[in-house]
Amino acid sequence: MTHIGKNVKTIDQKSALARVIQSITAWQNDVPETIDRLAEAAIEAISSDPRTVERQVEKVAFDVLTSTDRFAGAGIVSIHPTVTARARSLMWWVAQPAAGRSEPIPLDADLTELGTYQSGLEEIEWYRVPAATRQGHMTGPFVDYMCTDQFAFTFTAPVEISGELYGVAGIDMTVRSLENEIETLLEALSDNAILLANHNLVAISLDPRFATGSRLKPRDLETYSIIEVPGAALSIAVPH
Amino acid sequence: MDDRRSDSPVTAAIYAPIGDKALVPRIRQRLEDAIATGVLAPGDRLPGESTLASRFRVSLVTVREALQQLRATDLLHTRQGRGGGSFVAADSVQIRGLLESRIRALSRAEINDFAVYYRAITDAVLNTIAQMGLEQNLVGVRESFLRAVPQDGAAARSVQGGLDLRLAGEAQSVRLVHEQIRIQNEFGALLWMGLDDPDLRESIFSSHESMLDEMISGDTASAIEAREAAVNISLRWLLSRRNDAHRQERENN
Repeated sequence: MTHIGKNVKTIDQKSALARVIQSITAWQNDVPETIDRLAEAAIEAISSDPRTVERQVEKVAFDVLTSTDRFAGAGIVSIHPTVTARARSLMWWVAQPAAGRSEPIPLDADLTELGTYQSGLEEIEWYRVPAATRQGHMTGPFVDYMCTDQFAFTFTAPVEISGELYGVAGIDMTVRSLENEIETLLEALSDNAILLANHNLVAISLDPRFATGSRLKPRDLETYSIIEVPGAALSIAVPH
Repeated sequence: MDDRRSDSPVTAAIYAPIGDKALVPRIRQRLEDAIATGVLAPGDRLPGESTLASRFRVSLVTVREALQQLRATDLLHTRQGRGGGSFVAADSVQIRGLLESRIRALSRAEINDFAVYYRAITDAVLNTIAQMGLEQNLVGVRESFLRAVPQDGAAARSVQGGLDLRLAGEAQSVRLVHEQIRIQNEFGALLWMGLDDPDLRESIFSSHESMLDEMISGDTASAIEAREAAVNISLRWLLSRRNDAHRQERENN
């Protein structure tokens, strides 16, 4: 549904809605291009000299994470034998603004204590979905225990060479980075407006009954007008 | 500012010593538990001292002191040079002794209190998953749990720990995950000692399977009941082992 819900009819609300959409669009504007850069670095390294894949991806990931504070993490995940024979499966780097460090650190799943419990990377949504659909996907919001310990979205896209899947490339963005821009704009729309991700997952809710990361039940969902944000896996829910 | 406020029992708890002096015994206990429960096997090499220090987030001196104590009791030995490091030296007799003395040292009340704490956190995890409407996320958790077929107690405890952590993760709460990690570090290995027995292992794991099934079908109360059954099996085993150890001690005296 891209029509504007029947409750959003005043001129003020219409312009508030336009601003929310504009803000979300700007927030995720650089995502596809950034993921492409990571994927291209990996593809080039795999095709020419797989031993260099980690170094090449690291270069781009560092550039991505230090040139803007928009992204919390960036990298490649691969379970392809050509890659894993010469590099780690999880080639992912995390920005460290809170620790006052300018240099991103490599994500070491073993060191996060939770790494050991991950039964298989290929089962996790941010790997599984783009691997199956061969299209970009936004996962979340979910608490990223392996990375930021915060609610985050992970955007991933398949890394393919001549149709063969070599893994996924992606970036993390915290919900907080979106909250800051969106909250006030949502307030102008409705005191109980909700930003939903992937149809029914709560990303930001002004209504305190719904926690970030929870799933809106169908009977609750029915009580809202839903406005999808074009080009995003996000939608805005305004109570009828 | 009213001074009496800082004397109340509640505020006193805030200012209680953090207890960093206890770091050495805690690290030693952690490694001893890992050796006692087979997570670290004889011949296994520990990470280097500086790696251990950064993983425990303590100073190098603290790590060295803890390792020194373990060497003094012959649980570790150190080889110098290339391919050197700290190795688990314990043999099976030592391991059994270690385990028994650990269990013997616990009071019944302490063991029960572990279980209360464990229940409080795991109940909260299951309730939160249900409240947040995330039960269907457990389908994947269930699949990987069923795929794991551990062949011994140590492997089973690692599956157990993995299941508990994944569930805490699915509740989307950083704090619940950290509590779960704490539980596992402090007494996870002990609480699930019963997994050493193949029959108990089967009953415990089949209770876990029912727990996951009930969660996925939306019946949280039955899921909590099934989880409770699993805890009770292990708890009963642990308490009776403790009794045996004490009886033996009395007979020897």
